[in-house]
Amino acid sequence: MTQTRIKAKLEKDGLPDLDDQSPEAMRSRLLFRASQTYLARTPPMQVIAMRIGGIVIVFALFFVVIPLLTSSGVVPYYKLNFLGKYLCFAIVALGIDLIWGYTGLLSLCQALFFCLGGYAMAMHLSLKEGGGDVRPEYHNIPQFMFFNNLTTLPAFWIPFKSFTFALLAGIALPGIVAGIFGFFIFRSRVRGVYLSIVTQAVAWGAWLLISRNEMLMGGTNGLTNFDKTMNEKPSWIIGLYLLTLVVLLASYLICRAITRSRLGKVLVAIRDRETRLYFAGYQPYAFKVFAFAVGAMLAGIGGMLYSPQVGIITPQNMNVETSILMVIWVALGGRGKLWGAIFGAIVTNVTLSSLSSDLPSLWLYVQGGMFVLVVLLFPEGFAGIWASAEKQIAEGARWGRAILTLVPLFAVALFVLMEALGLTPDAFRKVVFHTSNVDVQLKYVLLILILGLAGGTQVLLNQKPQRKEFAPSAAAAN
Amino acid sequence: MNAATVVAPVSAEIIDGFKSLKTADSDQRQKFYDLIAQKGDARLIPAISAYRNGTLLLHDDKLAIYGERVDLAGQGSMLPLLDAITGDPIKGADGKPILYSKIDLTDAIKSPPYREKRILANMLSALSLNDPDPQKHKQAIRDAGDRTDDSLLPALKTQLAADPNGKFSSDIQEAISRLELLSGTRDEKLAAATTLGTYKTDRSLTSLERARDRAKDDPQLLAAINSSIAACNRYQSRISFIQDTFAGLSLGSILVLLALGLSIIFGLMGVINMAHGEFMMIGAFTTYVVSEFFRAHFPGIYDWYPIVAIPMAFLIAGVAGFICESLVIRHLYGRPLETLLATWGIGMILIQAAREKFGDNLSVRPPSWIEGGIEVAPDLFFPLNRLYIIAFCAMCIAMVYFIVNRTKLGLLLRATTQNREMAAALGVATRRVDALTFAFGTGLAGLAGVAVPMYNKINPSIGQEYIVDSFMVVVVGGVGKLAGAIIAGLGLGFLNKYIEPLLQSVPSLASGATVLGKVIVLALIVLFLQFRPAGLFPPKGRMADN
Amino acid sequence: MVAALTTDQPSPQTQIEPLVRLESVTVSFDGFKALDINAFSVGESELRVVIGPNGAGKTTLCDVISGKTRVTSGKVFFGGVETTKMRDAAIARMGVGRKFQTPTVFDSLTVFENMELALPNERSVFRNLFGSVTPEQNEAILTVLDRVRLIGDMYTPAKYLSHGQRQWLEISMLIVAHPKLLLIDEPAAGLTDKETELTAELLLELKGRHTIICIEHDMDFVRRLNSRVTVLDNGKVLAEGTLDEVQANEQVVEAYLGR
Repeated sequence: MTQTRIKAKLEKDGLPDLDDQSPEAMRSRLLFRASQTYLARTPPMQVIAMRIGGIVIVFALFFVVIPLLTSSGVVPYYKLNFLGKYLCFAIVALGIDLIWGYTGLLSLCQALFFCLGGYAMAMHLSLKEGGGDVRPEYHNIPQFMFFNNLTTLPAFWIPFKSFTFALLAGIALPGIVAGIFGFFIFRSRVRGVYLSIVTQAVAWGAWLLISRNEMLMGGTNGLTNFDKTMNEKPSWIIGLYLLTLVVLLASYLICRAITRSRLGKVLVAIRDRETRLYFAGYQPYAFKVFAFAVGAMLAGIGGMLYSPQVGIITPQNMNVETSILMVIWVALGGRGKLWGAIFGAIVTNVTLSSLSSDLPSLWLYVQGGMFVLVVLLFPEGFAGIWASAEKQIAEGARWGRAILTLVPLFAVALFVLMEALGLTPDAFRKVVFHTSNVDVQLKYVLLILILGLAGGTQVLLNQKPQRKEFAPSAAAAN
Repeated sequence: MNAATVVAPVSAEIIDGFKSLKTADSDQRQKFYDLIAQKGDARLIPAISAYRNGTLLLHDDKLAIYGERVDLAGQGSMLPLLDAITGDPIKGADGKPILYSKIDLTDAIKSPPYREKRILANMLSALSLNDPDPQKHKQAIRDAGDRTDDSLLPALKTQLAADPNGKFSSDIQEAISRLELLSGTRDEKLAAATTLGTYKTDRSLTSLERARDRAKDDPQLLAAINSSIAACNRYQSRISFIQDTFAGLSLGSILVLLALGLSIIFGLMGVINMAHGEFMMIGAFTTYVVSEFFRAHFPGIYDWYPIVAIPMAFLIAGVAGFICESLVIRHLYGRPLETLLATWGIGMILIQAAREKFGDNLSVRPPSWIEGGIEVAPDLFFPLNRLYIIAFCAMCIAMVYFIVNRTKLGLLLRATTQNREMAAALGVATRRVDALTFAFGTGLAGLAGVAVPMYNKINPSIGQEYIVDSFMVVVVGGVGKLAGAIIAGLGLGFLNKYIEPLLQSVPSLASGATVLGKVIVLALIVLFLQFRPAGLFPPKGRMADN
Repeated sequence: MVAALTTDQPSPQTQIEPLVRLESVTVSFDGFKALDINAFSVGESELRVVIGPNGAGKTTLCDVISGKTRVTSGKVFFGGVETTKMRDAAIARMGVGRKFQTPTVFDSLTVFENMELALPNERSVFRNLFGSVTPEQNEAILTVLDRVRLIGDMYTPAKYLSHGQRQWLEISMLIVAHPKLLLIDEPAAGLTDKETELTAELLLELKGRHTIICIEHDMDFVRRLNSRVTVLDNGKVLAEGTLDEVQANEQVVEAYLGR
């Protein structure tokens, strides 16, 4: 913003004479030229309009329309409950985007941090002080402990009687664990695929440990028996949903602030060319630890909101498959763009959930196939589609063209919305295609058709070289 | 074979006696039991045993028992009818052996009452001391030593006296000492305590410990017992160490084989193949299919199936790898993290496909020559299957070394790994080398998959169990170096197998020993990476930048 | 903007401690001796050009000074301080700036953002989280960018710049960090004639304000720089002097032409 003010000042004071070679005059001209460049890079009005439009629609949808639909009965409450769960995942995805999309660290153990937060809150919720289902015949301790022949609460459970402690633990613990682990790993310059393998091993090891009954965390059955009202009573469901939404918004804003700060630039520099940063005198590991810890804390926050809404948390929530799947959420939505991570998390979860109930024999193939296809054919993700549309408008294309580009995005968003809220019309749920163990419904066929057609038209229309970037103007400027 | 074996055929008196059991009363039965005990003929063991269980049949006036199930071409799994005394199959009127699909007890002789069963059990123990089958004979001697009473002591002493330097003489002496330790005179006990200290077996240890509790008030005897116990414990811990090393060697050799494939692929393409475990699984299931094929169509030469299974596993896993590389991985060249994700997806698809086709829990019947083991020293038992696995993996590793370092393909591989552009400029079809190398790596995984069914049940997720360990081997050993993979793989195998018993000796950790062991190994690796982030054999010089 | 050509050749027999000094340095990789230097030094504010045939050890020399490679034996001094065992990041913080053969700018960041990261700011996490560019720093960046004619592309991501522009951006990033020593590896590589001329002017401007060690192959470029030259061959110093002196040296001629 300094540049605009400089420009305004210069225009007010009057531009210095071109023949004036004094240092002050040269300086003013320099600053003026800089401000010109700055202004040239501001996106055109139409793009800004697109963005504002998108933001308004999304806000209205999630903050107003969906709650209204639910309280008026159009959308069943349990669907809202699920949506709240997906929003928790979106918070985790933000963290992953920060770590992977911006810093280039493919961490495959985010689910571990998610569970640290989730278990922390779950521990509180399992106890009497948190509304858990404890009974005198089980000595007023969680049932699984009783069945493990305990009669009193283990020492490390006692602080979790306090909600505040659980809250703080859920945020701090993932951060501390990530900080320590990251310190050791990043300091020794472990990176790239090595890092991914090590985090995968950590995820696996943690899963093995937590599944043991001796850990007194519920073993393979996890922690449950919370107060049922939290995910059954309408006022609670809406309340938790809105709370998650607000936390998601806050997390988004925090991440945005981080990525826009110079620290964010350093993170991108780490992703691009870490060795160069060494020569600039930076210690990349400190920044990596920071990003890693923030990502972990976000995952922990997501976990903390997950436990009350879902009513149970188990070691399955931190197994290796889940950890790796979380990364695909972000890949699908578009890494390098924060809202892409949120979008990807919601889309992937809703789609896989629908598929697992509609096409039970196929959905695991689809899940595996997603990994391959997204990475191979769709590296920019959905955020890339939006960016393409913005670029087309900025370059002067007609609105129709931009809308055509956006069709896949809109189609998927609509599909996901309908599925998530249970509003898919019955007509679309009719089975159109039928084999021995597979019944394909109309909605899937339509979706695939639309995506295929839109994708195909895009490819045809884009036969000209893609990159029509503005050529460097150095040749023009003297 | 005991020199006192009765060579004459079993007398008709005995056979009639058996047949009469169908209608005999308790006195007659007792007379018959005395007759058998006096004869001491070990060949009667199957008949007595069957009688005791109520499965001795009188079929067409012949004494018959059911044999073990056999698999026959075209008929499946059947039970043959055998002569209870001679063990030969009983033929029907058409000259063919009689077969049953399941046990039918309509012709059975009723089993004796409970009290007589005990008498018969003791008789069987005594008779088995003369069992013609050497394995059963040895086991019977050892079981005799387990007894708390000395009823079999005379029989044992007789055997020893008849053949003081026979095959089983040391076992017999040990059994005698064990019995005398508990029920002999004081002098006998003292002598036995010292003798057992020289045997040092686990069995001796058990007897010594039992005796120690009873010898509280005899200091001299107690001292002898304790020193023998100490000697036994020292020996046993050495034995455990060797056995753990052996187990570590066998686990390590599989890990090395897997890690070699991974390392070659990673070294060439910078790709960590997350589906590597699934290619191993493909090899394992190929072995299963081959073994089933042999079982159904060539049961006579079933034991030869590994000869076919090994190349098939390599081939099929290799072809699968070739396909994956051509369709997916080659388009992701230069993007290692994305390739990691894509190969994970491929792995998921493979697991699901295997689950649908084969189900979740399969066992492969290993060929018969792999069963059993070698007892090198008392209690030091090397299972044959592990020995074969080690030998097999060693051969494969040698083959890999040969191919990589001595053949043209290996040269092309190394050249392309070290400088892709230059190799391409020299006319090397780098894309083809990529595909072949990837196939080679996955083929190796398939070979590792042949080894696994030899000692474990297989299911579609076995790949997941080995893959993390294999990754760790690659990370620790450094990339692309055969020596590193071998050292790291064996090292990790040993580490895994040493830590587990260590933890098991701590009572509070014993139940979680396996898990805790794995976690500790992981932590050690992370620690190791602090000091050597690029592994044991890091690439040096200009190459180190990548 | 043509800077005045200077003709000074600082006398090597300065009593003051030279800025860079190597003492009996050898570097071996797996038995191959890449560097074997008895003595090498560069004085403060000097512009020294290092030339030599391929594989002579020029890049290894820079690696050793900047700390990227460890010496197998011998000592390295920077500003009087022994840096033999120091890590590259620490040496960088002492004021050694390095420009590599291939431009290593941050592709996803804009030109301005690249410069911002190069500023000699606090390198701690929190300062970077909350820090922003001060007006003075802003002007410093603009001034340097103006000199290399990159103002118009200030907000272009670096990946869209031409090769020459990326070279200049990288040099600019070094300059703005006020390093005491600039190690520049083949700045003229891949540039057009015009760009080469401009780069030479740039370096000459910098001379005097910074100490520069420049590796080059392009003899026209070296001639333009008009500075003291060190010739390396097979890891050893073959000759040192002005370009004319060095080009007249028989051993140098033989090393370049025949073998």
